Amino acid sequence: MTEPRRFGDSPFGGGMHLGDALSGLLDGELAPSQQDAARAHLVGCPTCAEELRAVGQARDWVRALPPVEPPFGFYERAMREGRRGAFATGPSLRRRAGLAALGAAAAAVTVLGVGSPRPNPASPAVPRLVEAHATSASVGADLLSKLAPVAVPVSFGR
Amino acid sequence: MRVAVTATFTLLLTTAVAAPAVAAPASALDQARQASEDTPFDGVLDVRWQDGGATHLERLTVQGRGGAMVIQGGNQVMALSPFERLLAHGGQSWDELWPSSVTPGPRPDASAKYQVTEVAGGPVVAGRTTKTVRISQGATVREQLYLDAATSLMLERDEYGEDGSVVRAMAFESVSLDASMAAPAKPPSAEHPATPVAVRGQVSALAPLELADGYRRVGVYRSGGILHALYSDGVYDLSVFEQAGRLRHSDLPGPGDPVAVAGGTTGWTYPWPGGQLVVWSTEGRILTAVSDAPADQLLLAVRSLPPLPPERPSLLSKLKRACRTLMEPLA
Repeated sequence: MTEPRRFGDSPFGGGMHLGDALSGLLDGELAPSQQDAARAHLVGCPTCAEELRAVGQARDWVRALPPVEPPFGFYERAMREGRRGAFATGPSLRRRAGLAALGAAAAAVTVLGVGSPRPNPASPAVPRLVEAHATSASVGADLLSKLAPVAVPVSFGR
Repeated sequence: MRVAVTATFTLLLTTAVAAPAVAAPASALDQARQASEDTPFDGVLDVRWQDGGATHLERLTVQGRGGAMVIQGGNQVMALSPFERLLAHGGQSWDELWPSSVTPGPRPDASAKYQVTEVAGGPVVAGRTTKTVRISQGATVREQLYLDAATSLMLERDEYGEDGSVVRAMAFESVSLDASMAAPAKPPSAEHPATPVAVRGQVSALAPLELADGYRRVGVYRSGGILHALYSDGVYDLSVFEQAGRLRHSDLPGPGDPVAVAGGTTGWTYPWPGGQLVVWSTEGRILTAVSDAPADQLLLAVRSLPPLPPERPSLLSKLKRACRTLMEPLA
């Protein structure tokens, strides 16, 4: 098995593995010479190859997330807080950075399964389910009485 | 045409049970079922059902020939082969709701749960003489059917509530038994929006072989991401639909009545023209039970569903949900 090439003399600095350069490689942000060096390293380094695969998968997952509409009033609240100096520098910024880190940690705990995030909301298509029930129930049973209600459009007053 | 009738629907059972009853042939229900397939007829059928304090009436036209049937109301529904079912919403194109290739299993014997008796004499319905068949469960009369004395075609079907009043009925306003007209023709094309496929082998914990009150599973199907378990007690049918997700109050179909379902969970119940339904959510699943059975039977059955094991989502779905969870408090 080929020994992984050291990066001590590479354009990336003195590390044994590619590290943060993997993300740059995936995003096409490396210079051509750096790209060549990184790809050559990946050929002989299963650790970096596995990390590249994991980083790529995480990137795909994030990209697969559905677009989320900002909640009603989000922009208005953000603008209001901004005017009050919520985005000011100094101790306030550090405090907010700390809160952000805390939130990220909470999210990580949730994602890793220690918590139990709620399932996605869904809306059952009740009129279609009623039709599916009535048609399936009419098979092998009294056609007229089982099927006639399907001819009546279903509504529930909303 | 839909007509909302505000008067309470009060055909009391006591007016209809004075005549002596004799044991009907075991196949009385089978005779009615067979007659609806074999007897050529055209008619106008009134469907009535209660919704809270109001009674609704929908008038349908029905045509039956050689095993095929077309029923026209706000929707148009067609039964072609013994199994194929098509539906057109309003004046839109036809959708295949049930393919001819999927067949439920045999239904259980109704006599294990119900007493089916023929009552001497019957009213004249749509100008035709009838015989009366009563379906009872113990001391409770569930239904009375008025079958055409000559052909056994069902001309009226009345379902009774717990207080003995009719809660749901369908009756021919007029009917003509005429074999000279052509059979309904199959539409030249039909869409296949969500054709069900039979599921074999192990299925969800929410599709046990039996439910309370004598309901036995006769089929399990999957359509899109929804699992459909069909149950029957020989007279009534009950479907349990299971899909992934969490139910928000805004996703309910309307302002229904709260009821306790399995495991102390609250569900919401609604009448529909052919019966009653319940919607509830548990362990990341949304369940909808739809039935033509009396409301008390439906609730007994859904309360007997086994509890679901806790959900074990994949890492990716955990990631997605975590993002939503973080966003929701900002709303």
